[in-house]
Order: sequence, then structure tokens, then C-alpha cells
Amino acid sequence: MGMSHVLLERAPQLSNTIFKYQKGKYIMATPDALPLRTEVKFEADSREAILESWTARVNDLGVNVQYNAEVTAIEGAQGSFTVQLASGETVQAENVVVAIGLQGNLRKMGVDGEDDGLVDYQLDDPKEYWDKDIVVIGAGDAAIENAVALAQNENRVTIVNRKREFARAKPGNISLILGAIKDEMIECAYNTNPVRMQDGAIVLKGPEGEQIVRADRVIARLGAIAPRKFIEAIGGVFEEGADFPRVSENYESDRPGIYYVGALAGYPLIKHCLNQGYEVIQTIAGQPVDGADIPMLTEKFSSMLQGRSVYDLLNEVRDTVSLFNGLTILQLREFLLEADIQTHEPGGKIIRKGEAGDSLFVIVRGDVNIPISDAVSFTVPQGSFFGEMGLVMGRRRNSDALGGKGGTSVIEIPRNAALKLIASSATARKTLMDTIVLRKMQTFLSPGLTPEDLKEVLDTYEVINFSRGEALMQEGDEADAVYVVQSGSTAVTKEFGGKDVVLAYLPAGSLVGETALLNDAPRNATVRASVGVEALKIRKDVFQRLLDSKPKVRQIVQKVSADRAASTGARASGNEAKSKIVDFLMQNGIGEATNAIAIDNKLCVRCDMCETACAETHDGIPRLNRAAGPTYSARDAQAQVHIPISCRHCEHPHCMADCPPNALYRSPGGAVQINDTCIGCGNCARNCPYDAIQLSASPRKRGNLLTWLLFGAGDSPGKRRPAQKSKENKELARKCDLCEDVRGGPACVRACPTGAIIRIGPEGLIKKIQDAA
Amino acid sequence: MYVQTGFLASRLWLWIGILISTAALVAYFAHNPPQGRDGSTIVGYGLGGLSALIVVYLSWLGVRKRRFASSTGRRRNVVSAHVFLGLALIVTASLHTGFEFEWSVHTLTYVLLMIVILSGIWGITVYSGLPDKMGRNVSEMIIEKKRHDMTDLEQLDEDVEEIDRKLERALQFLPDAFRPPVKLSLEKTRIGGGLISILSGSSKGCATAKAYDQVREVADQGDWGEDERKRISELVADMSRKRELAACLRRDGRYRALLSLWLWFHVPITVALLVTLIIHVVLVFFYW
Repeated sequence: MGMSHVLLERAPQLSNTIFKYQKGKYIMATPDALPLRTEVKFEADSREAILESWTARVNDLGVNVQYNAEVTAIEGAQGSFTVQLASGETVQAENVVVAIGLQGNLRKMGVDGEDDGLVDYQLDDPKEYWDKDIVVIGAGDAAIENAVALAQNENRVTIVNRKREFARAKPGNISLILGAIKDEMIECAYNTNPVRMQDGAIVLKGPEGEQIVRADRVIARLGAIAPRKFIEAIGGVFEEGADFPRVSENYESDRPGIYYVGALAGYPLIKHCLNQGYEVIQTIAGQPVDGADIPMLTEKFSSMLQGRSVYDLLNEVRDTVSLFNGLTILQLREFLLEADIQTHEPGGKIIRKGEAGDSLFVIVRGDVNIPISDAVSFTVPQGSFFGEMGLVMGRRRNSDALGGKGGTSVIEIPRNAALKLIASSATARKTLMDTIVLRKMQTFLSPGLTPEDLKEVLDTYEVINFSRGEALMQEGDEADAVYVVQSGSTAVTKEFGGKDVVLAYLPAGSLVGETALLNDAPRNATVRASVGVEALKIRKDVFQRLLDSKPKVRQIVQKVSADRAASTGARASGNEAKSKIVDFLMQNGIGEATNAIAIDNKLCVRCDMCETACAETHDGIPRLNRAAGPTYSARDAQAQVHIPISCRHCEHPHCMADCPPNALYRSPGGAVQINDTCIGCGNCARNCPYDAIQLSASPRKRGNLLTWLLFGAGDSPGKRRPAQKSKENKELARKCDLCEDVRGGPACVRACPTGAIIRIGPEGLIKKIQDAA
Repeated sequence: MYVQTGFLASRLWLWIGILISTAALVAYFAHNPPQGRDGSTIVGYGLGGLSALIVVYLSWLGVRKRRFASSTGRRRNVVSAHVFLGLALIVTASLHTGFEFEWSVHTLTYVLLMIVILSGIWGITVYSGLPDKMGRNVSEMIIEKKRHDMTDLEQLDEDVEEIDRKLERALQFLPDAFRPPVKLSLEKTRIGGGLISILSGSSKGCATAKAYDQVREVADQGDWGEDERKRISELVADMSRKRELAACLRRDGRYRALLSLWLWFHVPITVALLVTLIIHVVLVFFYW
């Protein structure tokens, strides 16, 4: 372009954030769909390769870089800025692009002596330390990863957690650190804060007072924040509660001529940052370009544009769809890029009942019909959304959704994008939750209930999270609310002769605790979360007022309550032994499964045909470990149930939480699958609480008797050498796929000679146990 | 209480088996040719042919059970058929002989068939009784599973190793009199071994059991100080647990061996049976 420019870099090298990543770190180039528009190439690769190619490219392009140039202030206005450097130099500029990211402003401990050289705020290479006393401060992902890597390198590591538990990190890292603490690889100080540094030691203050901990090195990983002071000094504005300064659609800040791009503007992904830089420079040069995503969005929405610009359409979508109301156009563009637009004929099936889908649908044109029964159906109007049950509860679609009269256009938002939407927009979250409560009440109580009828409920409900084993309500307590189980599942227990007996298992979507409210009596049973549960709490007085105002609704609730009492009563008197088995299943997480393996150990002859069959149908790698896993068996037990290690296809798969290439998905048949974009990072395996995912390379081809005899090719019959990983044969995540493409269903079940093994969901399994003679 | 429907619970194949047996009996007694009831009458050929077909079908299980991808049915149903048709063979094959026995390949075929069926019945009893015992045996000994990706046996093995490490350390502090029994337990405890010792599953002569008795004896004899007594009681507890663990693992080995031992007869004799069956059929049709 020939524009006069200077790139001021505080550090002695470019790309400081990436430079400081752990050595060899593999960097992803997400979002995949987004094209890159810059002169500098960027593809997923290792830290080293990316740094090398960038440095070379910047040299080739003749970029005017000034290293070790820290900016301290910017004065003047657009057209004649004076940029003040720490060295005392000044630089004149017409426009300024601030692309400093956040990593330059690491959060510090703020204690005495932290600048004495013992404290580091990052860890370049854990292998630099060996046999040292190291204190890691922090409870986030970086702190955990560093602590574990250091401990693995035979250092004595103490991790200091300000709180009582590790909650902020990814689930996989939490289990990693808890495991390391349990195995005494790492010492952990909970509820503890650093106080000051001493000679070769750090003083910590915990519940038991101050203690001095020897430290050859203190590594504090407390995260990074936008350098607020600096940004405000140069004219940036933080909206209330915002972590990032406000920018316009052109990434221009409140002070004209100053632009923010990248992490500073709230876009931590590298590709976004590169594109934004390009767009900003084009804007400055007077040749503004559409964002890289605009052509893609235009194509996506071509059927709906009808001569309008995509910007008009975006505005229209934002205004009509309540879920998007709180988003900026920039955010909306980001979401819609991952979404899919569909047009349906009147009566055409948008989703099918019983399908395992977890995406969210938003209606942009027309309306949608949701038949509940042959006679009754809901109409979901334009601007509203549906499919939220699959998204929130992780259960199969509970009804069809059909295109309305005059045709319907819907946007399908995939699960991850929808979750991001809920996480990033408070308005979206509130809208989604309110709608769920409304629809829950309509399905449970009466489809005739209007938002007005439920206004008080909608205004007062609370979302409460219960961890596994925690009680939503205790038998004998005074009743203060009803709950709607939003995700996870609960077990209802009652005390009989001093022992807790499991009466029922209530999956996501159930209404809990209504009986006590109806009768104004204490709780007649205990309800516990059998896995992590998210529940909506509706206050007693609110619920009772609703019942009082709608006698019909009261009748319905009474009927539900009576039916439930009858069925649980019958079960309670039935069999304590059976309830113990159900309890065992719940304790071992079957409540969150959709399809798990259960083995009747009284029939299992330990032949491992199930494993062999699995291996033979899946590239020689079995995806179940028959002998491992929990077993219900005791001297007095009438039945023996074993849950081998294999995927349970959870309602909310833990493995999906953190997959960089987004390779995990749920198939329409309900299986959690891995596609071939897997990079073998192992996050899913670590995140799985049931150890159901393993990393392995492809094994060698099975030996053929003849070729082995004649030429010694392959392995001897019946033997298979372990897979050798190599550059071509990378270790990838492998798990059960429910044999969805094998005729006849799961090979393990088919191969069992005695009929001991079954693949089944929790409801079915519990029914089997209840029915067993 | 069974949570699943096992291979013996199939009503369908039970009835088919009964039906075949009854039909065979009726045919046998209804048809009384002048030369007497034997394999060369119409009914005799019919029963023989039927029996041979069943034998071939049942042997095919060995091939079928290894075809994991190509067959869609559940193996359990095939095994049900295998069991009940196999039992029906006792009737059809016996009637086919007409109860004429001699020293010949024909009688040998029949004898081999009966051995195969008897070993099968042995297999049924083993399969229906042992899994339950096995489960109880092991799970009673599990105190806590350290990681859930471990099997019960791995956990028990690790428990034994852990006690051994403790014993090794304890040697440094214990009075010398305890040295021989602890060494005995550390060095001479054997789990497994030859076929006979695995099958017996017996813990008679277990080195740790002996060592345990010796430790108790030495402990009773001496006059120990406070510190030593604490160590000794810990040693006694460890020895006792190790003795039980070893016994449990031996029992498990025995169950495991029994679960497959019958197949060592069932399968090879089936192969022999197929050979003699072919000879029997060829002889009958070409040289009779």
C-alpha cells in the first residue's frame, strides 16, 4: 500500500504472546470457516513453525518494526497524534492501531518482594526445572498445567489456591490436578493467599495462619486483564461490567483515530485478530472492506436477501429474534457464521421426534408448528426459538417441529455456538431460561397457560446448581419451593428402618417437590443430584398462588403427584436390594448416561468376547475394558451388576467441553462420535470422568496365517503387536461409537455367549432391575 | 436375581429341544420293523441324518462366534440353541444306535458324541454357577479401588505388592526373631503355578499362612516393649490380610481355570467326533 507506518513492539521480538507459549505447543487456526485475508500466512501448526514463518514474512514485506518500544501515552487528536515512548522518543501518527493483547498485562500477586527475581508469571519450559521446590500460585488452567508438568519433571510442587476448590479450570484439568494431589505428586494449599516473599521462600496465609514454604521458584499464573489504566488514559471507554473497551463496527474506539483489535477488543482468536488488523488498515486507507465473514454471510442468507444488503438483514434478524437482542452486530456476525440457514415447506419436518439433536433453532420467517399430540399443537412464532430442550437437557427431541403455513426459514445454531451465545450474552441467557420455564410449565401443567399467567413465576425463579450427591430437598424439611430439573438427573430416596432406599430416578425435565406444596406438609422424601444438576427453583408462595388462580392446574398437579406417590409407594415396599443396585448405578454416574453398558456378573463368564468383538469391528482397538470399572456385589447381594469402562454417551458429554478442532459430535442416532479432524490432543480423554476415551495409534494390520507362515508378514495369528505411533500414525482419540455403522448393533452385546451384557439407557436399566425376578 | 436374560432362560429353544426329542421317541416306538430297531431302518436313517445335521450345526458355533461383523443375531440365542439342541442329541443319537454297540468306529462316534455332550453339560453347570461365586470372592476382598480404570484383580495384586513393600520396610525395625517368617512370606508365597495347583485353588501350604502362624507364635513368646508391640500387631494384621488376599487370588485362579477347562475336552473331542462321523457316514453308505 505504501502507507507510512511504524510497528512499535515492546518486546525484543514480535508475537510475544505466542513466543511465551510452552515450547512445542500446537496452535489451532479456528474458526475454520473464516477465510484469512492478510499477507501473513497462518495455519494450524506448532508454536515454532508459526513464529518462524511470521518473522520471515514480516521481513520480506519490509515492515518497519521498532523493537523495545513501549508506548506510555498518546496525545493529540486524529490526524496528529503524538505517541510517547518509554525511551523518551516520540512518534507522530495520523491514526493509531492498538493491538497489544492482554498477555502484556499479567495479573500480579501484589505482595512485598515479588520483584526480587524469585517470582515468574509464566513457565516457558517445565523441563528447565528438576528437583526443585516450586510454588505455583493460581487455580486456573495455566496454573494447573504448569504445576502438573513441573511435578512430572520430579520437582516438589505446591499449588496455592485462593479458594476451597478448583472450579475455574476446565473439567479435565480439574481431574488432573485432583488426581495429582491425591497421589501426593503435588501439595495443595487451599483457602490460601501469598503474603510476602522471603529469602528462598514464600509466606502463605491459610486457614491455620501463616506458614513459610521453601521455594526455589514461585510461578504465579493469575491470568491476564486488559490494561485498563492505559486504555482509559488513551481515551478508551469500558462499559459497566465490561472487561474490554468499547469499539465500533470498524473497531474504532471512542477516541476517533484510535483502533483496538484482537484480544483487547474481546477477540482472543488469532485469525480474528489478523483479519481485524487488515480491515482497520483498509478503513484508515479510505478503502473500507467488508469483514471477511460478510461474503460468507451473504451467500448463506442469499435466499432471504431479496435485494437488501446483508447488513439490513442482520439488523432485522437482531431486532426480530429476542435471543439476539442483546448482541452487537459484530457478535451476531460471529454466531451466524457458524449457523446454518434452512427453508422449509409448510408441514416439512425441521426436527424429528426421538432424534438426538442438540442444536438450537431460531425462526427468522414464518412460524413453526410443534404437535404435542394428534389434537394439540403449539405454534412457535417468528422471532422465537425451539429445540432448546436438546441443547439444555441433552435429551432426545421430544417432538417433531414442522414448517408453518406459508413456509418457514430457520437458523440452526450448533451446540457449541449456542452455548457460547448463552455464555456471552446475559440477555440471551435470560430469554432462553424464561422460555424454558414457560414451556416447562405449559407442558407440565397446561398448554393454555400464557406468559401473563406465569409472570410471577418468570420474575422470581432462580437457577441453582447442585453438585453430585447434594440434596435438593431433605425428607422431613419444611417445603419452600418446587424445582424443575433442567439438566442432569436426580434420585428420590426415603428412609426406611434407618436406611435410605431409592424410590425413583427423575431425569432432566422433571418437576420435583410438588407434593409437599400441595398438601402443605413437610418433604416426604429426599431428592439428591445423582450427577451435577441445574435446577430451576420456584418459590412456594409463587407456585401456590398460581395453583390458587388456576383450579384446573391444581387438579393436574394433584393427579401427577398422586400417580407418582402410587408408583413409588409400590416400589418402596418392593425390594430394598433392588434399590441398593439403583443407588449404586446412580453413584457411578449412570444417571447422566444415555446409553451405557451394564453386565450381569452372575452371567458373565469372563471370556472377554465383548472386547474381542469390539476390537475386531473397530480397527483392532477395543473401546471397552470389560474387567475394569465399578461392580455392585456383596455377600448378601442377590444380583451383581458391573459397569465396565466404555462410553456412556452422556446427556451432556464432558468430552465435548474442550475439543480444539470441535471433532466430537452427537450423531442423530444418539452416539457421541469423533470425526477425523481429531488432532489427538487428549482433552476429551482427560475430561471424561469415566475414562472411556483412550488415545492410540492405528495398530498394524492383522496377521494372515498364510502370509505369516510363508513370508513372515504381519503378526502371528492371535497376536497383535501394540500400535507404534509415528508422524504418519498419530495417536488419536478412540471411543465407542455404538457400532452405528455395523449391521445388528453393538458388537459387544451380540458377541456375548451368555447374554450377560447389554447397552441401555438409565430408564431402561432401572426398569430391568425393578422387573427382575 | 438375574438382571439380564441369560442363555439358559430361552423358552423357544427349550421347547424346540423337547419337541425334537419327543418326536424322535414317538417315531422310534411307532416304527417296529421285522429286523428290529436299528440305524438301518427308515427311522434309523432319519434319526441319524437329523443327528448328524445337528452335530454339524452345533460345531459351526466355533466358527460363527468369531465372525463379529458379518452376523447380526445375538450370540446368546445361538448358544441357547446350542445347549438345547445338544441336549436333544442325547435322545436322537441314542435312538439312532438302536442300542447296538460293538468295538467299531460307529460305536466310537457315539461314545465321542456322548463325551462331548457330557462335557457340554459340565460347561453349563460351570457357566451357571461360577460367575456368581467369582464376583463375590473378589469383591469381598476389595477395600477401595484406587482408580476406576483398574480391574478388581489388578487392585488386589497391587494390595499384595503394597503389603510386601511394607513388610520389606518393617524388616529393618522388627526384632530379629521375626526375620525368618517375614522372609518366608516375601520369598516363598506362590499364587498360581502348574495346572494341578491352579485347579486345586487350595491355600494349604501357603507360605504366608505358615509365616502368619510363626509370627503369632514368636509374638506370643517374647516380652516386647510398647514400641515393638505396636509394630508386631501391625505385622500380624498385614500378614493376615496378605494370607487372605493370596487365598482369594488362588480361588479366583481356580474359578478362571474351571471356566475354560471343560472347553479343553469339549472342543478337541468335537473335532475328533467330526472325523469319526465322516468315516461313519462314508462307511455306512459305501461299504455296508
